Amino acid sequence: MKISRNNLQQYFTAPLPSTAVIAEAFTFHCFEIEEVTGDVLDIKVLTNRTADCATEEGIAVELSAILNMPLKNSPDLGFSPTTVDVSLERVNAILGTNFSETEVEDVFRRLRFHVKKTEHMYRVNAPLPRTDIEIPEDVAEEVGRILGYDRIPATELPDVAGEPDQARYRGIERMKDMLVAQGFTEVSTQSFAKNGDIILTNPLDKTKPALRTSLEENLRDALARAKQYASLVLPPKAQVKLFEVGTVFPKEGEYLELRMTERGNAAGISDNLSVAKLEDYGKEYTPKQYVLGRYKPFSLYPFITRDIALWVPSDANASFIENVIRENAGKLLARLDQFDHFEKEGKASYAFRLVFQSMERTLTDEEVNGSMACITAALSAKSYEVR
Amino acid sequence: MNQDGRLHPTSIAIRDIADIFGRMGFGIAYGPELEDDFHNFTALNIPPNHPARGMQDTFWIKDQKDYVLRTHTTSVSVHELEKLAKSGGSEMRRIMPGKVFRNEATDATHEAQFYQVDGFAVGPAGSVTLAHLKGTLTRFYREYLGTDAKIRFRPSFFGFTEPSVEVDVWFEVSGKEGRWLEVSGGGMFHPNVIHNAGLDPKNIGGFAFGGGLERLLMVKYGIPDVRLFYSGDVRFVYGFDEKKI
Repeated sequence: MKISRNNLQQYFTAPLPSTAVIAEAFTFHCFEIEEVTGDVLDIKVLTNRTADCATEEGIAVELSAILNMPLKNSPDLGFSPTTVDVSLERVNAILGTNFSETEVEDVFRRLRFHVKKTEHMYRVNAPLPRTDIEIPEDVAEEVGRILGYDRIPATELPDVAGEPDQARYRGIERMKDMLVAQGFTEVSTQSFAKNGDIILTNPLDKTKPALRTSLEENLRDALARAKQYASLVLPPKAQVKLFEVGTVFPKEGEYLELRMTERGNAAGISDNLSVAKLEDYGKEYTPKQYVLGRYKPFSLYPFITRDIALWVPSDANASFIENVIRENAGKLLARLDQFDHFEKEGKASYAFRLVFQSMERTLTDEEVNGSMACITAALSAKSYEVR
Repeated sequence: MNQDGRLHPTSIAIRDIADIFGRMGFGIAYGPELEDDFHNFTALNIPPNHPARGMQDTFWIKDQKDYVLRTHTTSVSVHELEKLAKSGGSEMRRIMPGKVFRNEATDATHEAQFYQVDGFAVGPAGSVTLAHLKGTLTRFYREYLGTDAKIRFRPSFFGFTEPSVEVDVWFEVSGKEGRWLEVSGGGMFHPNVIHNAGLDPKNIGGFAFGGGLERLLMVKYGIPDVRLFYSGDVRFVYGFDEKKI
């Protein structure tokens, strides 16, 4: 709902604060403001407030409560027939606060609630348009938001006796850790499929209206792509092995499937984790944790791989050789792996795989040949024998 | 050459989150992704024709009109509260990570399927408050995002909580200016939810919260496109320097 500060001003005698202050007051005490353009506020009225905030006047009444500013002409709104009995203690027990009687009663006044105070209780009737005030929790919310949620303290929960139950989760994660230790990489794929037993009434992608009955198809597809990109992410002799843990939806009922690529080929071996006794398996296990660095986007352009092998004195240092290669490869070198090493007749042989890739364009063989020539020249200058 | 594989960043994140909440006494629960209408909506105080149903872009199931793809893992709270009712207990703390579905057009910041981590803590009436929600989330975000992280509440409306709040977190990425980011919604369980799970709201109450996981990771790690998460692309999984703790 769009409304300008000028329009709102008509309802007040005293000057309203700036549009920015009004926007902030709404944001922290009532509604989200989608946008402010000049002095116009685009207010996103919450769905439980559409009854009283459907009009300009309704918004002005709300603003009067939030800013604690009287309206020029006090509207006769009438009172809701719904009576809510709520005590000060109850309000504070819901919010976790220590608000005083005076503060809470002031909120009631600002909101134009009809309040009858007995010894232990407030009998509250909200203005008629406030159809959302039905139970003590609704009244507590009014107190919290009008006084400001910044006044709610951050209180930690008390400790509970015993260990929390994370056994099933730990069992699932133990399975994953076991696979990772065997060289498997986890992928995650879409639940929607071309065919299946469960069909969506309103699919987003019309070509995939079903829910997957198995992880097989997605994993096979992921493996085919992973093999294509293997040189970018894995050392030369490593085999691409993938697994996924995900929910599948055959007609017998959904379950959690674990599927791994078998010997790097078929999307073959699977396990039903919903029937496995994972609680016992996980109970005593602590899943491994990792620190991840910032994400480095991958290039969308093709890469080129080159191998280089050389004879060096047997006391030469492999990481020194790697440094020479890196320093002379230029910035297009995306990955460098040593993949072979042996010694013969007092000399050592090393072999490295280099992967070249640009973030901006497709590389040509000539460019990479140039880089390789630089590397070869630098290595030869160290009296290494490039084969 | 035997070298370790890799975990997907979603798994790594859920482990971090489970560890922090575990130290605050929270267990972990799972529930079905194909959910019945009762657990996804009605029990959460969102009966048929309730305006809040229109707020969620639900995938419906052909020939099974009482089932939906869950739109939030808040549905798992109801299952867990039902278990609490059966066991006769009065205290429970859970986080519920899992895949959820929303029928909305996808782009760099929207996916029709994503992960949500919901959580709740209930106890004897009056023992768990909105201030505890603030304390719990403050500790979580400080441990997860860094000691500079702080949170603030803004008023909101969800059928299943009353009062309801949006939770913003102040987050600073090194080298960039800090900013407020809307990370989750929360509040105190509406008494109807406690009642619908078979418990008496006069005796038991508590807070609930939930938010999308990817959004948080996108900010924490600088991931530019949410669609990378479920692309099945190993280049995404290997797009981070990784250090075992």
